[in-house]
Amino acid sequence: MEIDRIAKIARIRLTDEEKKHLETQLNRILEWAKQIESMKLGDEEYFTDKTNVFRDDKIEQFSDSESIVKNFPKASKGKVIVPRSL
Amino acid sequence: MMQSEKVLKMEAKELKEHIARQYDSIEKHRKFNAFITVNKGADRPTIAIKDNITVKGMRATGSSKIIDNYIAPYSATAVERLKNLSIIGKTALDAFGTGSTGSNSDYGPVRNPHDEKRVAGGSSAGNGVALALDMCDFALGTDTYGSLRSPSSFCGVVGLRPSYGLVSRYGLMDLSMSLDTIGPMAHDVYGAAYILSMIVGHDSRDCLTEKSKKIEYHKELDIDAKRLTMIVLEENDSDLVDRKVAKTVASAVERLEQAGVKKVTAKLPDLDKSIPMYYLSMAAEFASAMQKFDGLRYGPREEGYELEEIVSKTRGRYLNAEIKRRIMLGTFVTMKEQQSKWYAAAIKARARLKQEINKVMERGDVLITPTMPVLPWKIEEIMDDPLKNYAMDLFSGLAPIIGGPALSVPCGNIGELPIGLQIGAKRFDELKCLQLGNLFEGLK
Amino acid sequence: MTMIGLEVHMYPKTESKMFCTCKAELSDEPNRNICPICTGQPGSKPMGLNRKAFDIALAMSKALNCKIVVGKKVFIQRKHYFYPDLPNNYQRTSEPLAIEGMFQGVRIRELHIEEDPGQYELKRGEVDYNRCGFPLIEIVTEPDMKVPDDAYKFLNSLKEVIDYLGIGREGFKVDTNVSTGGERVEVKNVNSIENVKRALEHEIERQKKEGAKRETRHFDALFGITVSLREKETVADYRYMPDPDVPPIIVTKQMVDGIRLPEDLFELRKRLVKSYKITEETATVLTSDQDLVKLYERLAKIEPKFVADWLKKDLKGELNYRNKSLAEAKIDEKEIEKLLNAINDKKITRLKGKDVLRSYLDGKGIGKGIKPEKVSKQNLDKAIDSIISKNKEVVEKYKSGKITVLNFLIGEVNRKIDKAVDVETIKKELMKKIG
Repeated sequence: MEIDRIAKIARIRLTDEEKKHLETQLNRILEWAKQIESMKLGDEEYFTDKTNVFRDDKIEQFSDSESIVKNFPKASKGKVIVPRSL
Repeated sequence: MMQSEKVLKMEAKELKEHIARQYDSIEKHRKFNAFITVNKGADRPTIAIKDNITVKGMRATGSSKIIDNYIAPYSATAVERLKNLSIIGKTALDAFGTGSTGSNSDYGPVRNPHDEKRVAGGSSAGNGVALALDMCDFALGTDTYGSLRSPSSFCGVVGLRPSYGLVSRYGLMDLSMSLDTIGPMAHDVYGAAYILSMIVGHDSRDCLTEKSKKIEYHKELDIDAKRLTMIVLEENDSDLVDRKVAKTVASAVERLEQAGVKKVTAKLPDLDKSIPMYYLSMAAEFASAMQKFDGLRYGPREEGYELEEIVSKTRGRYLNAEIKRRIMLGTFVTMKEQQSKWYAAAIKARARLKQEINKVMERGDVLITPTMPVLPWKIEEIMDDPLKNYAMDLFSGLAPIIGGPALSVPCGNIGELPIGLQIGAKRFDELKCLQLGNLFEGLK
Repeated sequence: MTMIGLEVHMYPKTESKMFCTCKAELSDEPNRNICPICTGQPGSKPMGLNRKAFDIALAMSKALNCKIVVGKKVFIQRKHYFYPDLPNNYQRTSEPLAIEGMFQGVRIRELHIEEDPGQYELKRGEVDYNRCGFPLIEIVTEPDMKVPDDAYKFLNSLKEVIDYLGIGREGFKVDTNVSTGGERVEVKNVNSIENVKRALEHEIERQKKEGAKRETRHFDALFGITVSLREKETVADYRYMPDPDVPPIIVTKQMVDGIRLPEDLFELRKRLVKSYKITEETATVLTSDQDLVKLYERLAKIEPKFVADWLKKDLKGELNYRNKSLAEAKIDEKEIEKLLNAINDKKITRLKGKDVLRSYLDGKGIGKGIKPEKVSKQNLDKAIDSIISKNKEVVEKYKSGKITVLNFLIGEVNRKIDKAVDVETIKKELMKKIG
């Protein structure tokens, strides 16, 4: 269980204490989850039967793009601002 | 006439006074932490909306500080379909649905209305309290693995988890996409049925909704008891169930039998394995759902020189411990090397349990169990041991695994603390749950 | 032994986005064509998959001679990674819809559909979600190409087929991979067919000099070089998982049969050259548009070479000027036939025909324009005299040896008589008069 690697993939900065706790807890949860193995699973399929939900290629504009932009924590002239790269 | 029906028929003057009393109750009971946002000026029968469901123009936090200041730009389909009601406010929950106690809200633990030192159940905790303390007439909650039924049981109100695909999830913040549902909570079965009728139906904005016949559930509640067969699980009496709870539920079953309902028994030996199965697959879906919270488009944002820094710091700071735990678990079980061992196994286990439960459902019309295996416990007892909490979901998975409905109705008290009776049915057969629930209400 | 492979992303021509009903168009204003779905708002869910995008994917699969995956669940998956232009921090991308194809001698490994992220301007640190959610079709080849020119030709042919079928928008995005006998290097961010050739040429040279390690490089178009991207992580783990919000696709035989493609582009060109005795170049221009070549084949009976030339130059010229495709111009074939006959029968000049075409496209009828206006020798002489007297300095210039100014005089005469006489005759008479 490489807590550091998981935290990096999940983009969560953890304190050392958090890391220690999480490692213990996650190991316990997985240990507990092992009981699934006793179910002797075969080749059961994925759990939904629904397929082929298509939509006709029609336009219907959302009426309030402003309200989406208003929530941007850091924006300028309608664009989200992030640190520059390259 | 039940309370819900009375309210819907109130004349203007009486309604005004009724609503004024609700606002008083909200004010008086602040320490229960039921509401996150209160809407003034309600003038029609009132409904509380759980804060993980969006209402356009209103703050929506999911009870998590990561979107503390988010103003929803759109309303959930279920909210849009509500007619002739006033939204009295947004209620607290275990953040994004991560809990069955109401104690994991970033805005203060939600307290049990009958004993403020105890948990209210969750994750639709605020709704349970708001109904029990007469702060609203109806509530719209969500149920992934008991989130609506647990607070119904612990607070002594009625809650229905509808069949998956019956009510649109558009506007519902994800916990576990393949299990999440939006459902009604109310003071009585009539109220739950009334709200349900408004919100059901196919929605092009949720691909998983089915085209269903429009039923006015509240008008079809009458049923002859003799036409129903209830399946009672042997596990209702297992060691994992509190003796007092088991006894109360058993006596409820007896009353139904006396009223003419037929009874058969069944067992589900793998029932307890449903919990770890759920946690793995839910964590995987939840981790994916939570990726969007990076501080760039909504919510508070930590600063930094690099993107990775901003995102990691924001998530590190504003996501609470249980959320982090589930994201880490979900990330782990979907990592390349781990997938086949954990995630794939959880998916298969789910398919297998679905078969087993469906087979049991063949034996009758409805499945009877306790809603929760124990009474509400003390808030301080919330341990740092997640496993103890997770074990509370023993009976919660029966309906979600088959995509079916489940109703929780109060069936007795131990002291002040209410106990819920859970009535499950086959997929798209919620009418039977409501009919039996309504019948049971009439017996008391 | 050099091996080159390509991953081509093309934009199917649709009105709306892949999973929402926003207009699929880049707006001048940022964050205008957006909605809760394509900006990943909490609670949002994808709508049903854009049927047109799906049909175009099937059409491309057929055009590339692929085996379409029929009768089996094809899942739309979530590909997880954090990036500012990806509002959900996962991209929806399907499993292969088609596999094992062949196009212009290059094997096609697979084809699948996905949604486009938004636009992240790295240098300014700005993000615009207008493009987020556009449908994309990705075509992955086997590394069968051996020299950069192979890749260039492949991409050109691919573009020609897409234009011919009329199913794509402007703009390809291409990722390349190349090995010169050792490790395979990916070169990304090559955004024109010309640049693909340049990038590959440079990269092959570089590999010969510096060797190759397995990595991803970025093409800098300004300097014409490939640059190593900073190694941020080891191997990316995208944690692919079926999207629970999007039911999988099962392609049926009916769906496949429902996609009818016109005649193969390259076969068609060969046939046109052979049957109508036109040049390969002309055939290429005519087949740039399905509707254009259909029009040609119906009108070729008038006089195949002339009609080909006229469609290629006169009609296409006008359409290009108006930025319209033939389909958009809503042309009545019978009217064009009238016009072509009039020119071919020398009732009006070709130049006059251009005027007639212009007014037709502006909304007027063809009828009046093609009434032959007989200009008598007398009137022609009058016109020429008038132009000569009005332009004495030009005439002097001509006489003093500047032959090219004659064209100006011819043009003036032509205008005066409303192009009713062919240019050759005007020239002859002018020269006679001037001396």
